[in-house]
Amino acid sequence: MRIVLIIVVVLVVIVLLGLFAVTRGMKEIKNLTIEAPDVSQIKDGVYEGGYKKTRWNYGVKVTVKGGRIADIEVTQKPDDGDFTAKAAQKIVDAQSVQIDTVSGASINTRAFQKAVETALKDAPRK
Amino acid sequence: MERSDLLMGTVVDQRIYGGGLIRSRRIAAKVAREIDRLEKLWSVFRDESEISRIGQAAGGRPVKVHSDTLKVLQRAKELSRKCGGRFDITAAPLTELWRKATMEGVPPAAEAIALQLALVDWNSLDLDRPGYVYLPRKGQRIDLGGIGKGFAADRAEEIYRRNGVSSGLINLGGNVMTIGGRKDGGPWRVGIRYPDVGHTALAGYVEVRDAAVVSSGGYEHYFDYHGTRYHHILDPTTGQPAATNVLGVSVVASSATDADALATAVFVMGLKAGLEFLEQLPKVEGLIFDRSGEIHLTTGLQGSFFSLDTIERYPTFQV
Repeated sequence: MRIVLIIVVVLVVIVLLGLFAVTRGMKEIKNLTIEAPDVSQIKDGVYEGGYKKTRWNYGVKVTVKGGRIADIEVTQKPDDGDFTAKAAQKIVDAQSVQIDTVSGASINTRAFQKAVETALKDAPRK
Repeated sequence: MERSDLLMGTVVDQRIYGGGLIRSRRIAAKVAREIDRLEKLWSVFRDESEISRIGQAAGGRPVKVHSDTLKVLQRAKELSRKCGGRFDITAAPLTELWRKATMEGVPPAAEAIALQLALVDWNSLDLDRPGYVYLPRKGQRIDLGGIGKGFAADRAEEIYRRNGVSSGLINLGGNVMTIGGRKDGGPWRVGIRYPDVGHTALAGYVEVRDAAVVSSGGYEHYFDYHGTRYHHILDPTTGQPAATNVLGVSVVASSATDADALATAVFVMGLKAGLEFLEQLPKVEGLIFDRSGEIHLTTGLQGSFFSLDTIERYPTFQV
């Protein structure tokens, strides 16, 4: 009986730890304010930035050319298949027409957008 | 001013322009509190929520509810009628059956579907006694999943207007409501996500003012079983995942509540019937992605939808 109880307790602890590991950082990410930098004022160049919160770890190299984001190279990302690559494409596509909002924004996208913002925040202005 | 919260199980983004930062923040906080309140009233994950209690009392007695619950259910019933049951506010027993199936990765048995399908009947939802809601058959349940976020977006709009906001928007996990236009005076540009599994790029955007944009698609939750893909939007008239020939639907309307329910119904109806249905509704527009990814617009949306044709096409899936 004692052994069963110990096993149950150990299992519960493992599950709770797992849950904690998965959701840790979510609250911070959902509270992130993402400011869209005025790219038209940024000098041409390649700018690096990153955002890290527990398992959401993003690194980017953002290429600015002629006042537009020409390319986003992902240098660091969580294991998510090609989700991040597509999110990068989305930012490149969206900025050219100044989209205000999109259906289906997700937490991961926010962390990624933050990485892009940090890359451009301190970039030299024209 | 921008604010994001995790409410109703999704990311809620708010943007308010003009009228001062402190005031905007206060209005956004008020909206967040209101959505939180609605979630507590309606969550099917809380046994004590009004929606849960209506289900618990089904076949027994009417349940006294808050006027907001009454209001959303009246609208939901009307929309269920308007959509010929393709959107059905009482579809919860079916949804639950398929939710379990999705977790196990095996479709439910035909007998199990028939058993739950017998409980799905929006017309039996009894709202006649003022202040009370009654489901006549034991086992019947309500799920506001296909309308609650839209209603919350409309409620946010009311709060914005009452507080003098003339430029703002709220996005509840893809359910967008806009107030006025952008701060530069132009219309809001709402991106339409390409409705395909794992695809996050934009297919295009719609330009809107004072309008809701709500999208529906089977791409978010699905499972594969013996070579067939089962997505999460059910046809309440058959009990099966909608045998639809569309990948996704976006609806533009003045009410987000309506747009939310209509998007689901049009998805279930399929391309031809769905497009015709949207065309005959006054002041409602929409676009449908067919199975090959081709976009079909209602006549009223031509001129305000802009395709981003730089986006590469990904292979589409068979429903």
